[in-house]
Amino acid sequence: MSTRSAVSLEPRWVRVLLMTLAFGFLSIFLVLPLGAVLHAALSKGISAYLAALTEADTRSALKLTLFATVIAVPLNVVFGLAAAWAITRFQFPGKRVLVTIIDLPFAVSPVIAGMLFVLLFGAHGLLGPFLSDHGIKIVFAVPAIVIATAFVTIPFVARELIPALEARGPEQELAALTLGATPWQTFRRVTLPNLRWPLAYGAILATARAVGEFGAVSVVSGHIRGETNTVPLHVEILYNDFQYQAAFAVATILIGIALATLIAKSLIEWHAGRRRPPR
Amino acid sequence: MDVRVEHISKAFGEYPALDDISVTIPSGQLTALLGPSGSGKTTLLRTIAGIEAPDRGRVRFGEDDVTNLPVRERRVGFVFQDYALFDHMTVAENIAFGLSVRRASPKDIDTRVRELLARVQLSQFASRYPKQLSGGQRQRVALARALAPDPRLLLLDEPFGALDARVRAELRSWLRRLHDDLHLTSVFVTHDQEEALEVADQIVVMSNGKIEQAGAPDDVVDRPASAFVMDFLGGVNVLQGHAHGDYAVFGDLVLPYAGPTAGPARAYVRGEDLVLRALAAGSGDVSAVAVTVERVRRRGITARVLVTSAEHGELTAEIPHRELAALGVERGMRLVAHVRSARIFVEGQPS
Repeated sequence: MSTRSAVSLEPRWVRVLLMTLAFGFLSIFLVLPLGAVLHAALSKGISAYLAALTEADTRSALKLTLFATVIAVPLNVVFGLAAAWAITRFQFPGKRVLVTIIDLPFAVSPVIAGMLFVLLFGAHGLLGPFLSDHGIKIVFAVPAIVIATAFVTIPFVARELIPALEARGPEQELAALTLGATPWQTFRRVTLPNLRWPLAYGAILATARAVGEFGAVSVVSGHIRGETNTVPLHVEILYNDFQYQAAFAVATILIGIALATLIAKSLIEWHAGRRRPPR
Repeated sequence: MDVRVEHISKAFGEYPALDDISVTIPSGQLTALLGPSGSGKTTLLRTIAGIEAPDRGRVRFGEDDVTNLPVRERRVGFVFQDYALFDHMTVAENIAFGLSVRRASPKDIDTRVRELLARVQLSQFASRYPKQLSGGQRQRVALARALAPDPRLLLLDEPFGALDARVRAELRSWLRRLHDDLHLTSVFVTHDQEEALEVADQIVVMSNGKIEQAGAPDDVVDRPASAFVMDFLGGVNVLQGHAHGDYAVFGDLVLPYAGPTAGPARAYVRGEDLVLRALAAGSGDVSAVAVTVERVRRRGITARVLVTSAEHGELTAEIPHRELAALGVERGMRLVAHVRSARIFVEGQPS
């Protein structure tokens, strides 16, 4: 800061005011609440905190959240690669529609998304009779939670990959083909290594969203403790039961995952930045 | 192995990039595809490589019809305009790529990579990444990578386009020497007529998706098949006029013309065929026109003298320095410009 001040155009008081405002906002809306969560979580001591974390329903909620994430994120990576490749490399009818549809989960409220799946797979839904005839339960069961999680995370990977692919053009892939590589060798040895940072970035954002998703999952879950409860839903249930300390204790898991995501994201940005060509 | 392109057509949407093209690329020679941008030269190169599929027509390598052969089975070395090196691989890994995808043994790969690094004079850069190299070095890596799998044919798209003038001149003569060593049938695309004339054994001049002329540099320069070729090869003055039975008139200039037809005509006069003389020497010369000197530019052993004439506007004469001194040419001087020889084209019909 001090070394740059010589070329700054704004008077000193403007800079101080802007920085105070920025830090003030951050304190009031982020740091204070985080501190409050930690304070509440530890209000009955460390053993109560640990007890809340290791309780059976919490563990089952954590398991389900991780299960949904572990399925939704790889699905998202595969879909993102396919969609980004198709959009940037081929001309086909409906391309613009596809680009728009990829963003749909961002535009639609997650609650509406959840209701869509209830309408589709629920007992009175479009496919409901067929599913119940075959003894398949989707809504108010684990499959719906996975589907809803996959739905809300769809845009992340594709949106990171499309600009990366557009910036690169198809020449390296064409070069690989002229050198005798098969399409699979070209993808694995040329395309994928070039895309690993945007891909990792998109996957991390998708993971953060998958872990924290509340709205869509809340609608399709049915809130069956120990069965269809994810971590965010479990926090809400505990809170509504007036178990504040336990609710905040479980919330610290989500905060921890969020911080880990931020660190991973910064590491990737740092790494990707460092690998840029020395000029 | 010669390459024969037979009646190739290719359109991008409504826009015809190649229009019923047929040409033979002679075996073991270095051929230039020369033309302005949009003439179809890069599309033709990519069609030969198999990167672009023609709408109609055939491509043959020797006796093999390769029209439907996929790119990776054509065994064609292709050097892209911006090199398309693999950024995440070292120079050595880039060169090894074409060998390792064909599952060559690590020992063979190592030997071949060393040999090629030496050939392109980049041995000490083997473990660098492409982004750490200069443009000329990248160009040579791209060439080594294309040569590694021992291709039947080498294709280069604007190989010197992105480089500065000095590096370009060096690489040109280097490419020529490399070709003389390897005798690999090679085709390169360029829009620079000097480059084509200097480096190539054969020149294919293209415009608007058609081939204007194919031949040795001397043929193309001395016997241009069309007004376009003459114009594109550059350094020519164009005069507008009319052709009659056995002469043609361009303003007050009269030039001999022995063509079959009469009609509106254009005369193409090379800079070196426009001879500047003192005013007095021009009297009675019907093939000369009065001009005023505007500017003199020295380039190498000759000078370009820009003159204006009342009837023909700006004309450029190219004369040796000693003549320049002998005439005492300076700005504003009045001279006559004598047309020593001209090629006359009547309404789209070559003379």
